[in-house]
Amino acid sequence: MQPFVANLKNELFKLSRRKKYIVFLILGALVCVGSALRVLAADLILDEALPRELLVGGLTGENLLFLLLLFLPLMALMGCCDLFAGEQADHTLRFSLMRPVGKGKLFFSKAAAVFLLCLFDLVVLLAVSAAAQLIMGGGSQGIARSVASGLLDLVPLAVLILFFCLVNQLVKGSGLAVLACLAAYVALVVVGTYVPAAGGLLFTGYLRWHNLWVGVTLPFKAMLTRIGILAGYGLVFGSCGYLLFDRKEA
Amino acid sequence: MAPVLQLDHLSKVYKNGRGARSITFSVEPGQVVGLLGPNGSGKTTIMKVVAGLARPTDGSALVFGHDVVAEREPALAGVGALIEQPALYENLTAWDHLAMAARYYPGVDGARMDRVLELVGLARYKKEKCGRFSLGMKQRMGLALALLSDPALLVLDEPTNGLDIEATVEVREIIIRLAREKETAFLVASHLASEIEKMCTHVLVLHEGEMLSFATKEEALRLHPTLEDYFLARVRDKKGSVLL
Repeated sequence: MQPFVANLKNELFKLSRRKKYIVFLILGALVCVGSALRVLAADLILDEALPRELLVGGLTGENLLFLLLLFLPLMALMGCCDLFAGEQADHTLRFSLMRPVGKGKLFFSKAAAVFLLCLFDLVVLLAVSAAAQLIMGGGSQGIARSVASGLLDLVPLAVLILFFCLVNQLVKGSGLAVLACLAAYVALVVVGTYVPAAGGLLFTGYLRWHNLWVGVTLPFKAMLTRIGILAGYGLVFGSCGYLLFDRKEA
Repeated sequence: MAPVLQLDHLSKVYKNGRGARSITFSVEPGQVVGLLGPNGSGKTTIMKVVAGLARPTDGSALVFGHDVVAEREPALAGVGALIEQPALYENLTAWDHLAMAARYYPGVDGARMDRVLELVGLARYKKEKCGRFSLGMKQRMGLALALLSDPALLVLDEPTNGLDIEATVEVREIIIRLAREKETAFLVASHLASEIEKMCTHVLVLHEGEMLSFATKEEALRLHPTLEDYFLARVRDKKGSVLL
């Protein structure tokens, strides 16, 4: 376990030293606050004078959609491409490949580092959204539910990270890896949206899977099938990605 | 004495047909084995396999009795390596690199990190980003990373590449001293026979991926005035046998 933890710390350290992640986090926070300001500004211009609770009461929940479908997948994509294809391209992958750590531990610690990056970003941006909602007079309604939903949606996000890790093993060059991950993600989301029959089978269809958990009674049987599908995708992406990474030479 | 490194018919052949074929030799504690051969002779390939960067296509490489592929962690625990150009992150400082590497070796602390930086002459630049380093400084940094865990086997591919005369002598002295005082085993590659001659105890001649000979330096110099002559004689022997 010690080599895994050592490598996980190193991967997190490397990610923390890249300024683009801080810049993107700030931009994400601005978008979260900006969405509330936009509603308030529209209200002011139209002179509607609607109650603040009605205008920004659901801010945290509304921002969740932006976080889950756009921001976090983008962070996951960049993190995976930096830690796999990027390091392979500039030969820095050798730094960790020459250390006494198994390739499986290397592969999964890199994926875990990207997951923790996404978790950190999610927590920060939910906190910013919740603070903005409270400060602008939207009340605390729906905040707890949005936070719980966001945390629940980390499960399908972990599968998406493993998918990006796998794509990174299939292509050479960081630019191509970014392009391949982006194209694959957009294609999967588009297919899932416009072909309803495929939506339930694609893992990207579960990125907002907190919706499945909402209801008076939990549809346990249906949930079990979906959990199985998601776990299956995770297993396939994780094991295929690891097998390809294991054969990688630097 | 048990060998630190044991290669048994090790082959690593790339898709283009280059690499190394059926290499068999062993390295014991305190030995400095110089790999001598022209570019493309398979020196770096052998080192990459020993350092865990490449998988052999046939045969095996055992470090302290552990297979470098099947038992990566125990095999690489005692190996320090500098292969081709050092693997450095441009946006991280020298100290950051050592701190990251130290996490893999439980016994390595800040004092040891300072010590290796002192040893390679980079103590003044420890807070500087490696992206700003010159070629020679990067090479020194690579050496510092290889030395950090005080390994029992050091794999150095062209270790004096990019270094000035003074630093070249310093590196050579470090290698000789560690081999004598700490019984550290070395696998050093160079295409310069004179450099190998000054530091090695054994010499392995490679040509076009084949191992032509493995001998002690004394054996090699018994019949030839320099290792360069020894190398040329081995290559001529091979070409002659092919012509016959």
